[in-house]
Amino acid sequence: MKLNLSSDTPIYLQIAEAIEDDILKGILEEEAQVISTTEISVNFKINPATAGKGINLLVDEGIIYKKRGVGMFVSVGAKEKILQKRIDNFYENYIAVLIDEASKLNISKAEIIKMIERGKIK
Amino acid sequence: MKDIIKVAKYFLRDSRQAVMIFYAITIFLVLFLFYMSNGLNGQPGTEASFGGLGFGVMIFLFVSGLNSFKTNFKFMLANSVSRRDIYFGGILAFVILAGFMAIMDMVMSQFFMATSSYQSFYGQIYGEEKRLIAEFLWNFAVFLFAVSSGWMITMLYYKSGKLMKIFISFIPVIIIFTVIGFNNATDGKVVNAMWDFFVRVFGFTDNYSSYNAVLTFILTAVTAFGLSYVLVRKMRLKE
Amino acid sequence: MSTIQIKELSMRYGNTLALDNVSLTLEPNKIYGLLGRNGAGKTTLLNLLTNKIYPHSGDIAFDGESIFSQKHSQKKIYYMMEKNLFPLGLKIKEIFKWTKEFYPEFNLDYANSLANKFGLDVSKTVKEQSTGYTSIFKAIVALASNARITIFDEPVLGLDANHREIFYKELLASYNENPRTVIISTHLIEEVANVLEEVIIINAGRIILKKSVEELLSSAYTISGEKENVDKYLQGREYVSAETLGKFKSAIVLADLQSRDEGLAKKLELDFTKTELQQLFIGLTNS
Repeated sequence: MKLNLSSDTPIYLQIAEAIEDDILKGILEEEAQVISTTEISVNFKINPATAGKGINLLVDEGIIYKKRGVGMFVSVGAKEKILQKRIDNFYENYIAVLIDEASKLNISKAEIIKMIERGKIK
Repeated sequence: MKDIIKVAKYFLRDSRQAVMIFYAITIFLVLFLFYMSNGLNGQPGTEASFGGLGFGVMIFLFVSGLNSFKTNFKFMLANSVSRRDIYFGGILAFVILAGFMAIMDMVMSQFFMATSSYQSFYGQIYGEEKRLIAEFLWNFAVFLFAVSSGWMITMLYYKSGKLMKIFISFIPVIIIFTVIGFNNATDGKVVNAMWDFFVRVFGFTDNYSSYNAVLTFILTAVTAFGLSYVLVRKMRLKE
Repeated sequence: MSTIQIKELSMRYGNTLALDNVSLTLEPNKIYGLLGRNGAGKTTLLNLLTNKIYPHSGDIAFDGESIFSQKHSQKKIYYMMEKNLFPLGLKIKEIFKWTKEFYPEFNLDYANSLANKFGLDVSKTVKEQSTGYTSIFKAIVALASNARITIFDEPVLGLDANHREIFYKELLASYNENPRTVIISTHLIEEVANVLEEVIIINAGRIILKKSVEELLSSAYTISGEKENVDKYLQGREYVSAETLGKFKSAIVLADLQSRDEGLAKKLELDFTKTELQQLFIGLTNS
C-alpha cells in the first residue's frame, strides 16, 4: 500500500482506495486479513483516527468486515462491490457530465459515438 | 502521602556520596592529627589536643542544606511530586541524617577520647562527663538546626527575585550594625542583655545544663522548617 | 478518563500578559498538537497545566477536580519539558529507576527496549548526553511513564531524521496499544501534522483555534495563478495570507472546500491546491 501524504486527496480516502485496489488486483482475496488500523498508523506515521476512518469507510460499504478480537477481513463479493462502485462513479463523474455537456452543445448521440471511436484509435 | 518516604529516600541517596567523602576526609584528618598529638605528647612542654569534629559536621550539614535544594526541587517537580510531599520528605530526610551523624559523632568521640586527648564539640562546651543521651540530643539538635537553616536560606534565595536576594544578603549586616548602634546608644546594655539571653538559652548557667540548648536549637530548627513551609507552598519553577 | 478543563486562565509576567483569559477543554484519548509562535504562551500554558507555576486567575480541572485543590495528585500527567529538570550527575538508568518510584506505572522494560532502539547509553549520566540524546532519554521516560496525560514539549529537538522517525512510530505504537491524552508542543508543524488528531493554536496568549486537523484543512484551500486573476477571485472572500512572486500570486482562502468556485477558477486559469497545516498556521499567526 502506498500513500501520498502531500496529495490533495484526504488520507483516509487514499487508504480506502489503496485497499480497494489491492482487492481488485487480487492481492487481497476474499476472507483475507486486511492491514489493521494500528499497522497503518505506525507504518505511515498517521493518527489512528484517520486510519480508522478509512477502514470504517470500507466497513460501511460492506467491502471489509470486523472479526472481534482478530482483525479486519475482506468480505465475500468485495471485488464485485468495488467494481460496481467504481463503475457507478465512472458514470457519475464522466458519462453524466459528458451527456450534460453534450446536450448543452447540441451534440447528437451518433456524434458522441463517433468521437468515442476516434478516441479508441489513439 | 507515600511520596514523602520516596522523597526522603531520594534526598538521602543523593547526599550519600557527600557524607561518605566527609567521613573519609574526617577520618584521614583525625588519623593525621592523632599521630601529630601522640608524637608531640612525648616532648616536654607540648600538649596537643584536638577536638570539636562535631563543629565540622554542623558546617557540612548547613552547606548540604544549602546545596541540595535547587536540584532536588527540580527533580521532584519533574516527577510531579506535590510541594507538600517534597517538604515533609525533606524534613524526614534531614531528621534521619541529623540523627545518623549525631550517633556517628558520638561513636567517634568515644573512640577518640579513649585513645587520645580528644574533646568533642559537646565536651568542649559542657565538660567531659559521659552523658551519652544528653550528648546525642545536643548533637542531633545542633545538626538539625544547621541543616534546616541551610535549607530555609536556599529556599529564600530561590524564591526571591534579584532585588530580594540582595536585600536578604544584607540582612545579617543590617542586624549587626543595628545591634552595634543600639549598644552604643544604651552604653553597652544591649550586648549585656543579649549575653544574658544566650547564656540562659544555651544552658551556660550554674549547672551547665545542655537541655536548654537542645530546646533552643530544636525550636530554631522548627521555626526554620515552619518558614520553609510557607516558602515552599506556592514555589514556582524558575526559568 | 481524564478530561482537562481550563477555565479563564490568565498569567502575567511583570507587565506582560502571557495568557489572556484562556478557556479550553481537552477531551481524553486524543493526540493534540499545541502550536504557537515563540513567546505565544505554549510553555506557560503547559507549565500551568502541570503545576510548575501558578496562575493569576482562573482554574484548571482534571475530570472536574481542580488541580489546585488539596487532594489532587498530579500523577496522572507526565510532562516532558524542553528545559532539563534532571540532576546532571544521575545516570539514565538511575533516572529510569527513580521515575518508576514516583510513577509506579512506569514500564522499565519498555524504557530499556526504547533506549536500545535509539542507541541510548543508559549507563552514562545526563551531563554526558548530547542535545539529541537528552531529548531522547526524556522522551523515553515520558513514553514509558504510561501516564493518562502525556505532554511532549519539543520532543525531537536535536534528533536526526532516523531518530525522529523512530520517535513518531514508537509514539503511535504506544498510543495505539494504550490510548491516552497526548499533547505535543512543537514548531515542526508539517512533520507532526499527520500524527495529530486535533490542533490547538495559541497566539499572543490567546487560543485562536481548536479543531481537528481534518476539519481545519478542509476549511481552507490555496488558490494560485496570475496575480490579477487571483485578486479577482479573492474579491469578497476571506483570505488568511497571500504571497506574491513577480506575476504569480497564491493565497489561502478560509472557506469550505465545497464553496470553491471551480468555474470562476477555470475561467481565470487558477489552480486549487491543498493547504498545508504549516502554511495555514503561518497565515493565521502572522499579525
